[in-house]
Amino acid sequence: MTLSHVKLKNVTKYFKDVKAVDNVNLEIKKGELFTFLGPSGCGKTTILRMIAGFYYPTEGSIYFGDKDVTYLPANRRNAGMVFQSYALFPHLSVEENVAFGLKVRKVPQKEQKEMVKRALEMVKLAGYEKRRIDQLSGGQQQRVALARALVIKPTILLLDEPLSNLDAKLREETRWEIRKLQKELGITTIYVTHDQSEAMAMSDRIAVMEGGKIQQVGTPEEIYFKPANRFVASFIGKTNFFEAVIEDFSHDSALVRVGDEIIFWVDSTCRQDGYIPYRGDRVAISIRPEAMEIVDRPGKNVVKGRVRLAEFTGVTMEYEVEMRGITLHISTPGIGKEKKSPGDEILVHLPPRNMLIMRGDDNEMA
Amino acid sequence: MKWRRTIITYLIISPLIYILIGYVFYPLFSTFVASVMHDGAFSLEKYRQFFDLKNFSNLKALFTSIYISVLSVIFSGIVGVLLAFLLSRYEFPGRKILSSLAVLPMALPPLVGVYAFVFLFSESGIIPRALKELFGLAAVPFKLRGIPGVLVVHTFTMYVYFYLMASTAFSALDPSLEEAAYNLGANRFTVWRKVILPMLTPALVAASLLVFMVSMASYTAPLIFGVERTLTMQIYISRTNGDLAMAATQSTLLSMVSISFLIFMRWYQSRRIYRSVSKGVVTQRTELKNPVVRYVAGITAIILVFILLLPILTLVLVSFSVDYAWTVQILPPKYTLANYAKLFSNPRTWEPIKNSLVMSGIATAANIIFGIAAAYAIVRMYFKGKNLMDILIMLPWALPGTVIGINLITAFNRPTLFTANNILVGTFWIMPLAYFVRHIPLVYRSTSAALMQLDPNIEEAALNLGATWGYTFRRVVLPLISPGIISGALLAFVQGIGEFVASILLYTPSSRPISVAIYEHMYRFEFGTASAYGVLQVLLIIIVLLVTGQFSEKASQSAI
Repeated sequence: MTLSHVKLKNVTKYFKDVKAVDNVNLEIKKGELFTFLGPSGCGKTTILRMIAGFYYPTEGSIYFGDKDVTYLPANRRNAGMVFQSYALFPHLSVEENVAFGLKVRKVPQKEQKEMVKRALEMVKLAGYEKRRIDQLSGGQQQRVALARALVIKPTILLLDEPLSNLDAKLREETRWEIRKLQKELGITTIYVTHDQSEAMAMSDRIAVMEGGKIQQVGTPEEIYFKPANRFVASFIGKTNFFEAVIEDFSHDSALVRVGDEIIFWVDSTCRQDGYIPYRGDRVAISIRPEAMEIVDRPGKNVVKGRVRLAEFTGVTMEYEVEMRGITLHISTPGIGKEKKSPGDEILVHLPPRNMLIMRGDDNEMA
Repeated sequence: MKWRRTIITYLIISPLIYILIGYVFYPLFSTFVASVMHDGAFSLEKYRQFFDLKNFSNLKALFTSIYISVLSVIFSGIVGVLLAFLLSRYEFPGRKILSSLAVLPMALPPLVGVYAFVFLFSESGIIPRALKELFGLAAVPFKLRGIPGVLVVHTFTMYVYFYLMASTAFSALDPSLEEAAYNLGANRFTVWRKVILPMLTPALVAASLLVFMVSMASYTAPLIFGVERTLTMQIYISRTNGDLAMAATQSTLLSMVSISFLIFMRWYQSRRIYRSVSKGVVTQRTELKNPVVRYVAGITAIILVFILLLPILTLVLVSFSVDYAWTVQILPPKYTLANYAKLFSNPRTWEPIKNSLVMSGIATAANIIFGIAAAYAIVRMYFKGKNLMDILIMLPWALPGTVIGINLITAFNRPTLFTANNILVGTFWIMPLAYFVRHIPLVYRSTSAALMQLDPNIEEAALNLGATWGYTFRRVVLPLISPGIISGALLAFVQGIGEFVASILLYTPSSRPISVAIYEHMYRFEFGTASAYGVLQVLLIIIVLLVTGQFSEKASQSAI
């Protein structure tokens, strides 16, 4: 068995004339939890459904290990899927739902019962065997769907927004449970979601998608701290963008000018992958709201600004600060520092390692 | 591998297309051909005769049909909307029973329903005679016959369409819209004119079109009340006089009217219509507080309930009467249980029951298979010509029974490809075929509605777990849509049992159905036996309506 477990090669999918997925190339490793993240309509579910076999690609191929499964019917792929709507069989009991895949595989009755029991224990639903589906809560239904997908010992597990129908608290709980289960079983899992915090919390690697194209593939850290382009930077978490011009660029630091007066030092490793700035380049600087700090004394990379809005959320203080024509959103811990009010003059420090230099024209990442 | 799905798709849709072309389109086309081809030559002679201003019996029939239909729309509209308004807006003693019985006229098979009115209101009917006795009059004060008779029967049976559609519209109407209008200073009249009526318009237009179509297709009421100059009656008369070309011409013209109404209706319903945007509407019924008003409302409700039940009660009463004994009396003088005993024991009276059960059973079985396949193809599959298929499926719904009868005669009075080179006319098989064709839309609709409710992910989940398409269909899809299939099939079955309009054109001595037997018994003054058959039909229909939940308020929304 090769290290890559699922491979997509030049996969393109058209619906009539609409290109839903545009030349996707990917390798998903054995045992990892890989997430497709993106806004609705970005093509992430289409990719998942092609892996499941519900759609066939218009062009390109899909491999499980070394085997080309591009046109293999869905029922011969042994890929367990949990649907967004759960898609439980309403006319069958919990037990019968979980046993469905085993029955189809003609597993002997006795063994079936044993496997169903273990699967239900695994998702903490022991004792619910005889319940009807409509007698279960949303969270319980979700776990039945998970048990039903896992009991067939699938080669890969496919999860299509499995948490989106749960309430916020349950969602957090369930995502840890899924992650734990996935690690225990060591099962290659492909996860689709539009929720970036869910993706960040659970995934080994994430593919951020937009307009049918993959914008970036990487670990949650890579994607958060080194977004490949503006779309990724703004889709994952919040960020501030402002225009700047490169004054100087050397192997350890870069000097950028914002407007006429402000000069920032930026760590020269803090730049978009593959981009080497030259003097005079128009660039965009991205900095996260929580990456800035309010300081007492002027200094390097410290700018004066005026608070326009101040919001206390409990965990954080959120400020909108105006400084020399640029507006920054700043987020500081809710405890500690004294609270600033609208109209206050403050000093803001932008640490050189926390900024990211990005190409000015954002259409570059095709 | 990639072509698998395409192959499955065409395996399913090609027999469907064959059936639709063979038994829906080809018969319709044959009738058209029969109307323009006489003795092997093209001729518009029959159309000239139809529109002949010197001998305008046909034109008069067309105008009478339209006249009756327009008045039917007006009368049943007034009754249906008024009833829907009162029942959905006011709370008064007797409201519940009245609203559950408001759809009862649906339980009357066309022929039996008309006879009940004859028993009640004709010259020799119970009520005119009772009034004559009571007030010592020389002659009956009124009698129901001719066009007024047809209109009374139409109003009684067709107001239900308006009632159902208007009830749905009223219950979807957010009361806060009205409250907002009052709050903005509008008076009651303005609120009705500017708020309520515009919201009701789509329902009213749809119901009007439907009643107009049903009324144009009406055959039984004109037949029994002796209105010969309607289009449906003319078709029947031309056919019995042996002028099949004229019958074909009249059928073609009636089809054109009906199909254009179908097209207009589909177009109208596909338009954007008003909908309340608010969610979770709870319609508050106004409790009638004033004791006098309550008293009047309660009595009115009781009277209405009585009127609704009257035809069925009459039928039951007459069904126990001794044949030939009821002559000049107000009520039948002698009663017996023998009529019912005879139905089942005497081979002569049992045979029509057996025929109807068998023929409707065969047709329904075919309807189920066709309905499931067609619904699955239309709802779940992708192929070219889907729209055309949808139209062909719904076509028999628009075609009057008389027209379907004539279509089958013109198509299958000679050997065809679709009948394995047999002549169907004059055989037993033409009857189940007619029932099948008439009920294609009914079974298809209830099945496809159930299928549309079914989350497509459920099928995918089964495939994903390793089930084949066939296994998924048998073990997942079928069990889940079976309530829809069963309710459609049961309705088709009972309607087949009561079918009269096409049967009267097509039956042979060996395939005489119940309704034709009723007609013959009535003709021979065997009122008891005829009514016993009728009660049997009504009972079957009521059982089916109860089983399928058509009497519940929820079901009224899916009724149309």
